[in-house]
Amino acid sequence: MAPRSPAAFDPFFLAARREAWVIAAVWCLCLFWTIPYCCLRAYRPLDDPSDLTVILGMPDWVVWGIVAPWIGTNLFTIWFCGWIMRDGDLGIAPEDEPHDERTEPPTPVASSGAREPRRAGDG
Amino acid sequence: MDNPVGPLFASIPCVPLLATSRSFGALAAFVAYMIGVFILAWMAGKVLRSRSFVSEYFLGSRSLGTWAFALTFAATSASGGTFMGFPSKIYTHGWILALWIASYMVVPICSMGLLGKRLNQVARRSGAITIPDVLRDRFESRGLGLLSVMLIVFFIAFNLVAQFKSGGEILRTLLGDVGLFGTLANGLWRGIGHLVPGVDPGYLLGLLCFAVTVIAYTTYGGFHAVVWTDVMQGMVMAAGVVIMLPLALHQVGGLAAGTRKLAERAPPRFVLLRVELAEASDRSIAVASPWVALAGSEDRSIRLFRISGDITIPIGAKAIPYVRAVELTDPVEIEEQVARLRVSRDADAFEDRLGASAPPGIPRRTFWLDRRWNTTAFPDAVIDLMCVREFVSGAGRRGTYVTGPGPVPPTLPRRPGTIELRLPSTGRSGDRAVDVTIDGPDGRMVEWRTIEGPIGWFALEPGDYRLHAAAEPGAAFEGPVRVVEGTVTRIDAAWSADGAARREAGVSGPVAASNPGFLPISLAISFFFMWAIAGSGHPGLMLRLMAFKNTVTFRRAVITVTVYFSLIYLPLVMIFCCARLLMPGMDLESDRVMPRMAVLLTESIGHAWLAGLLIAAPFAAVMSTVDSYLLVVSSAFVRDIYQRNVNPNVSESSIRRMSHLVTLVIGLAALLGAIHPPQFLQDIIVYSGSGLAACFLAPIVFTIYWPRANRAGCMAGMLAGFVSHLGMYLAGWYWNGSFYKPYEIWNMDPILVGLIVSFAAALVITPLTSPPPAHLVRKYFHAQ
Repeated sequence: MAPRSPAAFDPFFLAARREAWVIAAVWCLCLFWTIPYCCLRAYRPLDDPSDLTVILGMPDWVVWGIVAPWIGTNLFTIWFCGWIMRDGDLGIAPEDEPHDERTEPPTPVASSGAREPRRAGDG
Repeated sequence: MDNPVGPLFASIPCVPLLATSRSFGALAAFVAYMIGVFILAWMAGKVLRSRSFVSEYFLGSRSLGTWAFALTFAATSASGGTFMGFPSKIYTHGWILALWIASYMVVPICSMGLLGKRLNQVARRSGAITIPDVLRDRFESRGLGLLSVMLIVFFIAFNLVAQFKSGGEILRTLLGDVGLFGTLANGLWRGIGHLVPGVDPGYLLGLLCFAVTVIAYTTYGGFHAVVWTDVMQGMVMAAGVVIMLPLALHQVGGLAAGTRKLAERAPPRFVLLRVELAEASDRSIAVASPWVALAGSEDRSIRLFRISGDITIPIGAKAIPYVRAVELTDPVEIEEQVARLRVSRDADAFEDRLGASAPPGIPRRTFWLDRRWNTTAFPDAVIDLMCVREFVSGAGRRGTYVTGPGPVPPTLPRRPGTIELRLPSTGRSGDRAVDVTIDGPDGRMVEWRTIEGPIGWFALEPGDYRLHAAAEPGAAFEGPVRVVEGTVTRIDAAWSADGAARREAGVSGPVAASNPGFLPISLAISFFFMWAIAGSGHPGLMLRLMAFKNTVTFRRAVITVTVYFSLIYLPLVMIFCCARLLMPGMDLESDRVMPRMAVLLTESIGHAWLAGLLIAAPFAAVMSTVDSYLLVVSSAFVRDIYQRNVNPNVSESSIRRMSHLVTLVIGLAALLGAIHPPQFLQDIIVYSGSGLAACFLAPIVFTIYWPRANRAGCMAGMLAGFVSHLGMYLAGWYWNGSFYKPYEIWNMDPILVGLIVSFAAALVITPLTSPPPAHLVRKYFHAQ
């Protein structure tokens, strides 16, 4: 039976789920900026090719509808993954445990909810 | 409305000029890359012997660091399509491809960040090595595990054959011009050609080279070999783009200049030509992709055609029908291409042959041109137009390459038959211009052309048609005609007066079917889902999410892939928009744009050997996808079926032997399938790729994020995704007449329906069925 209280859940799981919601929201934001903007600006027939507005060598709708949000999401990704996303112990797979300990219950993992201090040599 | 084609040039002498390019430097660079792949596989094999076999062979012992994890993820998600199909689409449709792939701005954080950390944690807690492992252990359900295995094998097996085919074709395209490759291909053909009749020798050699390489290193080195070669392949891909971008921009005078030139371009038209020699050839002759120029009769303008692919004139042949070509329509584009041809070695002769110094009107001549156009093998050959097709969207419209929805090319008849229309004289002088219209079985006009001369040639799909011919003034002919594939139906017209009424009734040209263009908005929305969300649901990518060693590695890898994709995708759009300006007329062979562009750019800087590195990029992309799929299918048999269901106590040495053997057998089976690949293979790739996402995304999301999720709900989500996605294709079969033209609600791709139904089914069925056992919730959702 699933527990009723969120407090009983693994904080790593809760953090991962929160982060997934944030990522889904970012995807929605990009969708709701890029598609309407390009719909309005990219799909107008170009009666005279010299009317094309070029910014940084690209059609203006590419710059504001795609390149700008692309740069924005890159910056967000760097910020989110670099400073916001939580670290935690992923656990030890059974094949990595010593043979004589395989029948023992898994070792408790400290998951206080705060990011763990980074260890030298990680990554 | 004016006739869009203009008068037909009949009985025109032509001068073929052949050229071949042979760059052993490029071949050497390519071979060096292949040697690097084998060295990495050998090193991976050494690592494999020192660790737990199953975990190491199929999952790399969950020990991938930042660079390995990031680049294997990026390389696996970039298939051959990224470096062959995507450039081809950019070339064909222009800047709108930037919107087509716009969701790649969030692909890394979505496809990695949505599932990565939790999937890795759940896999570690259960000891899962594969995606079916995860599902089976999370719900303690052998049935769910087997269902997922069947779906994975079903979808990926087809994909594997298609990727092998891509590998063989890429190698043939990349090395086809190299003399050594041709010699080896012919030698191979003499040896085993009788076993595989009808297969192109170059393709066969390319396929064998590709298959032997991938099967060998994957079988020997397992997951780590795949990952390490992916890392190298990922670097090769990035290097290819980074080198090509400045060279391409330099060639067109900068990105702004290139974009403005592209805005001035109108799409070309597709044609089928008929080449008739003065006398039957006494030897087999291959003509490699020449340009054909027709000198104009009334002014000094010329019509310029680019022949698609190679033309082989067999011994004893007098006429070669159905030569596919692209005709440039934009005067500036024609002028620029002629200027490029003038740069070659014999500019004065070029002017003479075009008739520039001859009186206007006489002679009209045809010229086979190439960058080394100095051969005149067929001085008395003549050329006729058999079929002319305008773009179905964007024809004649400037600016279509820089705006939405993008132009759509026409299709030439795939199984053409020929009508040979012989026209009598009307008895008046100067009466050679005859308007010919042909109506299809449904009454719609399929062809309208003005012909000059006594004979007109028309290439059409097999079927029953109605032909009308009207000469000026008055004389006309009308009658039924049946076209049979590969044969010539001869019609001897006889003039009568009543047929003239047809022109007076207001027929004004072929009725163009309405076409929404390449990327209508609804489809752009679909692709925003497709790349970012559906990409998360591919088992091959999910497997990599189970292989990183810790969360620090994971966070850094997401950032790395984000930067990597930014370096790849938008620059590719810029490079291949430039390619349309630098290499016009390749619309019928746009799959070859990437290697041809590589050769063009590297030759321009005097380092042709660099082309070997650049053209290794698409090869690397296919390899990195195929090796991953091989392991996914192999692990499905060895781990998910045999070890988990048949013999759980199998020894490690047996598993080792079996893994090597199964990987080898699956690879060989895919090789055999790719020698004679089934029809519609590219469509199968699209179906299987989106089908996997429809089946697996919802079940995996609920498996790792929803404690209340249970076996029934996930199974329902998986089956509902499969059935609804398949249903859209079956509905397309019923309504559109082809399985590969799926029914699309509001022009939305079937993947959207599959995902929505899959999520909905799991959300509805789960609360209606019993909750999962408490010990499973504790194991996977509580702190341990």
